[in-house]
Amino acid sequence: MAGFAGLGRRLVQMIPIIIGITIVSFVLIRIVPGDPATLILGNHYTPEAAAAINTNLGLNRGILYQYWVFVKSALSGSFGHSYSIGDSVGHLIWQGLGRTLFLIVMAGIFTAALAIPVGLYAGLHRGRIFDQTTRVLLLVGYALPGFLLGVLLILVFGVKIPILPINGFGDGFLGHIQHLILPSITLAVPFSAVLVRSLRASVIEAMTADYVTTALLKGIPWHRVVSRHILRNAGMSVVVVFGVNLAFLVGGTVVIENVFSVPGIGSLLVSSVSTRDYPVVQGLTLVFAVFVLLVNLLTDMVHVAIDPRLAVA
Amino acid sequence: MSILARPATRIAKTGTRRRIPMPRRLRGRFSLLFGSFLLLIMIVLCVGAPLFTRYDPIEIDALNPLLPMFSPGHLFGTDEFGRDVFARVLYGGRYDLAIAFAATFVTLVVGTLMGLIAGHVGGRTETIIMRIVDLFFAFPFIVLVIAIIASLGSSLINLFIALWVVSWVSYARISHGQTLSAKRYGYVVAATALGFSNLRIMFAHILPSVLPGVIIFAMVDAVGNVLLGASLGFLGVGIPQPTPEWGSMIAEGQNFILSNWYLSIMPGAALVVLGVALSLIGDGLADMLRTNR
Amino acid sequence: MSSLAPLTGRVRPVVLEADDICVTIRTSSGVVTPVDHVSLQLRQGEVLGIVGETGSGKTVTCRSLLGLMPSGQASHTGSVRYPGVLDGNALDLGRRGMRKHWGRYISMIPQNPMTSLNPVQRIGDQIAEAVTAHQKLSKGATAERVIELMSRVGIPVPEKRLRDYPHQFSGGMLQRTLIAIALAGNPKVLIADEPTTALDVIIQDQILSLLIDLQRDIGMSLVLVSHDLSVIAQICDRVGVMYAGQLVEMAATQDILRRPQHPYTAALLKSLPGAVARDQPLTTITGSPPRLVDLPQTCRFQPRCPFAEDACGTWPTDLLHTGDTGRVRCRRHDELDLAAGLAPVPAAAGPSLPIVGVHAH
Repeated sequence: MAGFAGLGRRLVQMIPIIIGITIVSFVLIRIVPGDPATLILGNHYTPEAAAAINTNLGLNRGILYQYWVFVKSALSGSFGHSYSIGDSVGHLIWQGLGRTLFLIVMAGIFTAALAIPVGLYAGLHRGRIFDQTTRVLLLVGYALPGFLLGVLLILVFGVKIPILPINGFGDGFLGHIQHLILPSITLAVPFSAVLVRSLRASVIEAMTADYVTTALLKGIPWHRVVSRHILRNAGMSVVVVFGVNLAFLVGGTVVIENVFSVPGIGSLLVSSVSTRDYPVVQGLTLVFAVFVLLVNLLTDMVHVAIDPRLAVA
Repeated sequence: MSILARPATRIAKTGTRRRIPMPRRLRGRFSLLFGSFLLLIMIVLCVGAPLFTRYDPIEIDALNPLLPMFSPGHLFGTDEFGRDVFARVLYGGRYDLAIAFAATFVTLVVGTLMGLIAGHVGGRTETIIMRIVDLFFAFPFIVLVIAIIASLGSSLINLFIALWVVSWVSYARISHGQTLSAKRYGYVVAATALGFSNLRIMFAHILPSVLPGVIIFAMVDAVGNVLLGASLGFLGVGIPQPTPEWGSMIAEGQNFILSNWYLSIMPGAALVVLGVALSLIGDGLADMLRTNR
Repeated sequence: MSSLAPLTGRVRPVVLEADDICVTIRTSSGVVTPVDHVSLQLRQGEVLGIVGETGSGKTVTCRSLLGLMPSGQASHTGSVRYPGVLDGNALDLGRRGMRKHWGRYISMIPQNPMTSLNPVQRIGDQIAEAVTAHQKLSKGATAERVIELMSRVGIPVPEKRLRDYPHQFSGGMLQRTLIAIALAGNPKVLIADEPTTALDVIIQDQILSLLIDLQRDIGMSLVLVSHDLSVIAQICDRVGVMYAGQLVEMAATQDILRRPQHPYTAALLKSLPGAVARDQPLTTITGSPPRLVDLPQTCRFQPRCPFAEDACGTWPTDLLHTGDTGRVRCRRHDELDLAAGLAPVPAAAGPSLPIVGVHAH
């Protein structure tokens, strides 16, 4: 199968990038001014603990050896030990990762549900009232910081109309969904602005395409011209835009999890920064990057699957 | 074709210069003018803050905490420490504007140059530069910025350094792509054939066709940088307290969102207006530069 | 061959009648009139050629014949009727009203085959969509009809190639596919808007002969648009010459070639190697065609016309009769002898000429 060969090649191409990512994450903690052992230990500093860390991480040996220790700990999934929380970094990250994924999937679904109908309708009825209104809203939606929207939603739903939980992750599947509704909306709105803009442009471009005239002149109903010809082609570019911008959504979770106190890896990142828990920051940087890489890979695979022009002949 | 040969078609194929109808250009001009107008007002208000308010944004007035909006002398009221919110919004804007311009300008210049060099020189240079670009793109920008600030410690200059280190890559990618396509244009090929120096070809011939795309993106990027800077402030990893900055002001106001909503909403509104102004300029430039191409 | 009526002994029915169409588009630089008072009649089984330079309004004229009006700031007057089928005005019906006629009564073959097929849909499905647009067929019957159409337009191994996507087809094959799509509903009228401009020379001839072949087989009427008079001369019964949005001359092909009445037609002929007598030089038309913005209602060819007089600048142009079927938009057509220097046209010239393999160069 052509798809598998392509996938294999893509995985091989990812290797140098992954190595690069580990180097960047590794270097980050080394640019900290001062003694790494002191920084890693933070408030838990004792000379004995520092000596143990120096041996463990090989800080008293060559830089290559230190890198090797880091790669080994990353490969084992433990990422070393968080001294401020007293747990393995890997465990902390795995705990948060599931919640963050939950949030990202929900936000992605909300975005699709919001952006596709709006972008399609605005594009098909270009220049009408709906389209003009959308253009103005897009401008604001694009400039609106997610955390401000979050604060507004908390004000409205948490206080004026208290029907939705405004913080935490909840219990059970339904509880998670309920708790993540507001954070998902907060993430979906700016993301939708990006998507609506590109979908609208793709629809407008597809509408003037020659193949749409061909389809129209066959004498088939307009709704079929829209669904089979305009939407299928416009959708193609939207899938790519969606995938590329998913990284933007992943970055957005860092802020939004903090607004709504969702205990995901975004919250973990910010709290680790403020407690100077460097091993956690380092591990998270790596995990975020691998996550984005996987999303990009998935986007490419979907694109190949739906666009016959990209299939290897 | 066939019995009668072809030349007639050739004379017939000339003429008719295509012109794009005005409305788009006019709309572009309107966006550009209105956006610049908004931006100019913000710059005047923030840079000339002492002319518009007599309060110090940091000085604590323990006797007048949490005054409501439109209190005498305090247009936007005061925060929990009795500091004038209007003054804080004006002074705080200086940092957000600085991020919009300084962070964006440096990355624009560096990134464009990198892309230009990669695209024009090619070979190993191109591979190395573009691989680094790919590498940076693997990280969500905000995560990398936070990680860098975490390592360097939070301060205004470290915030700038983090933004510089991370966001030149977008420009490099755009400018690399444009350079590659510009190299195929006839006049660039001609310049190469005439034996002009690499520098002359890069700056006199390729750069002009690379710039429009880069400049349009810079406006989008400026909005992104402002939002990023404010997000960091909001998360408490941006510019340290007590310096006023819109993002951190929103975070502080969040604690009083029920009773004193304006503490968050006023800096938030300022942020949105700045973002809209920059987006309008970007849209306007895009409409105008693209039609002139 | 000069007109269909005398040859056949009875008047063939009119299948398409355009009456005084004007299309105007308001732009910021002025009012553009790509179609200016164009009237024409198409009879059953007739091949009508429309020749003109790029930008002379041929494409917009074509699309008006199908009732496809430009979107945006455009307006139109005049009417297009399909006698017996559509007595209302095709220009006013819009895509909802025109849907039942498209594909079934009138079809179009587009200018650029490369962009005229949906890149993400299989060739077979795109033809099938046209087949089932106006009739309900079982899956098997549809597939059969698709394969039949594909082999009729000369696509080899159709049962295999119907699973291909457009990017796997060559330009010529794409144009054949588009012809199959246009013919799927057995239309009476086919509008071909520069069907060969985007193709290689050899492929152009193949496509043209396929078109003429099909037209004769089915007996449909064909409007063939081209900027190339040599193509038109070979296969059309009548020719309309467009200049700056107006029809400046309309006559039987033989008459156009032998006795052009309009200076512009004559100038076009005198730049064609095959149309000029061996001892005469080829000439070009000086100047360039006007932009279609805010044009006066006087003769538009006047600035480039070697026979222009002062009076031409005030003459409100009108289509004048020449002979029994010809029309010309030139006030001096009676006084001028434009045929001088043209090669004698053999009696057998015109539609009966073979098309493939007769290259003059």
